[in-house]
Amino acid sequence: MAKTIMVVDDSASLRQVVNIALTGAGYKIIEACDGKDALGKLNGEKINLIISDVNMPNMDGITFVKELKKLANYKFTPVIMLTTESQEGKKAEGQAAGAKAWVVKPFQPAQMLAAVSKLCAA
Amino acid sequence: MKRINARAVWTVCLALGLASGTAVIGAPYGTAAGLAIAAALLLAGVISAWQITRLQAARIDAVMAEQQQACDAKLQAAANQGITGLEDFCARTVPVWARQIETARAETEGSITALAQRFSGISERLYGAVAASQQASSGIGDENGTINVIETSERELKTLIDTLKTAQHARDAVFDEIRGLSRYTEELQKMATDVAAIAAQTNLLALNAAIEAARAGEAGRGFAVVADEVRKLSGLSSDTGKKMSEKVGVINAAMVGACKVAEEASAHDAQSIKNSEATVQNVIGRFDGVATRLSESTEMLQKENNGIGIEVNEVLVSLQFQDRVSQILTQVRGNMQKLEIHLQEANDDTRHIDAHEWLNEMHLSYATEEQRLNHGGAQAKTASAQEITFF
Repeated sequence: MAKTIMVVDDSASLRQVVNIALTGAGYKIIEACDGKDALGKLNGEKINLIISDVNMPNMDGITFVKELKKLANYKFTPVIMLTTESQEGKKAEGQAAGAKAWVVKPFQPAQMLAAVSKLCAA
Repeated sequence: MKRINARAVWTVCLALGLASGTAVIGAPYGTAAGLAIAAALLLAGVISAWQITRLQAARIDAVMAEQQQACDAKLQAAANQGITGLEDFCARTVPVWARQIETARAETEGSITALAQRFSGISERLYGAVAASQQASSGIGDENGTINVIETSERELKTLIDTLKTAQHARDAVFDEIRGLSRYTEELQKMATDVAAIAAQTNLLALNAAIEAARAGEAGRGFAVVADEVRKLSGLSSDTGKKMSEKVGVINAAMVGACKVAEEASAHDAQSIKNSEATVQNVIGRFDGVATRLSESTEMLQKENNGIGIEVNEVLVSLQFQDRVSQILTQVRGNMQKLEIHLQEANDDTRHIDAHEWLNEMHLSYATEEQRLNHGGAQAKTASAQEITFF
């Protein structure tokens, strides 16, 4: 059964790029345009991994991860932060919120697939 | 101008001094006195010219100072006018610029998203076509693949040929048995001949017995009957031996004929099987040729597929520029809107903008390294993919 990945990003083109990179490897993708939208789309559905941007309207990625970790069904769901931010301070914020990995845009699809595979298997 | 005027004054004064001196020298008062007067007049001219020059220079300096003051005043007025104009200009143009940037950002975002979707469709169809072609030609993991079909067909045809060969061998064995029977017919023939010879011998013995019985007279009459019966039996035995010999001959001829037919059929079958085997080998060989070409084609497709995969990855990396561009433009637009609001809400007390504070706030709001580099004065280069950080 295909594993489900949720992609949270306000950029439709970036969501599309992640979609192409992961569906080719057999993953099922759910898209959300910001943290609030993502929380609304969880619906108790089994999600194996979440890839989230940091800077987004309505609810940013760090807040979203903090909110996610409060939910019983998703507190152990691994999160990869996918962002243009590369500052160590921001990375530390992501780690403190509960993210498992930090990927700076632009990402290499092969690297992303390897990270997704590793975290889905964990 | 100052220099020209001074030179003109000097010239005029010297000319007046010289003219006065010359006139005095030409007068009837004597040469020495005339020279003294001329010198005095010349000195007076020089002094006058010097004083006039000083006066002119002072006047020029004063005029210049006045002009400078007027100019400064005008510049100050112009500068004051400029700030007011700039404020109005900004209040009107900044929202326009912000909208233009947002339109450009939104249009690029829309186009890149559409481009990514189309690209996704193209790559999916391409992968599908390559996979179908690979499956059809190589049949890896699929029993209906061409190579597997050829291999299976070859195995089945070889099994068929082997079955035919086995059948031929079985038939040959049967006819070998029949050939073995022909040896018995020879024995039977000999036995029939023996029977005939025994019958002839018995007939001869019976004849002798009959002669001896006749010589014995009345006493040998009963024995003569026996001898006659024995002679008849020997005759029957001789007939039976002949008949047996004839039948054995017929059977032997039939068996020889059957063996000959069987040998011809066996030779024909062997040739047919050989031909079939050759035909099967030819067909399999041709299929193998096709399969080899298909395999080469598949290998080429695989290489192309790998190349396409690399290109697809590169395109996916390149398509992500939109997100970075969008963040940079959004930040610029945000600052423009902030300036617009500031200009709309500013009163006399808040009219002043602290550029340093604005720049600091801008710096804090950056989301990309390019923005920070640009902010610092360096020209940022296009970002490239980085290693993933795992926590």
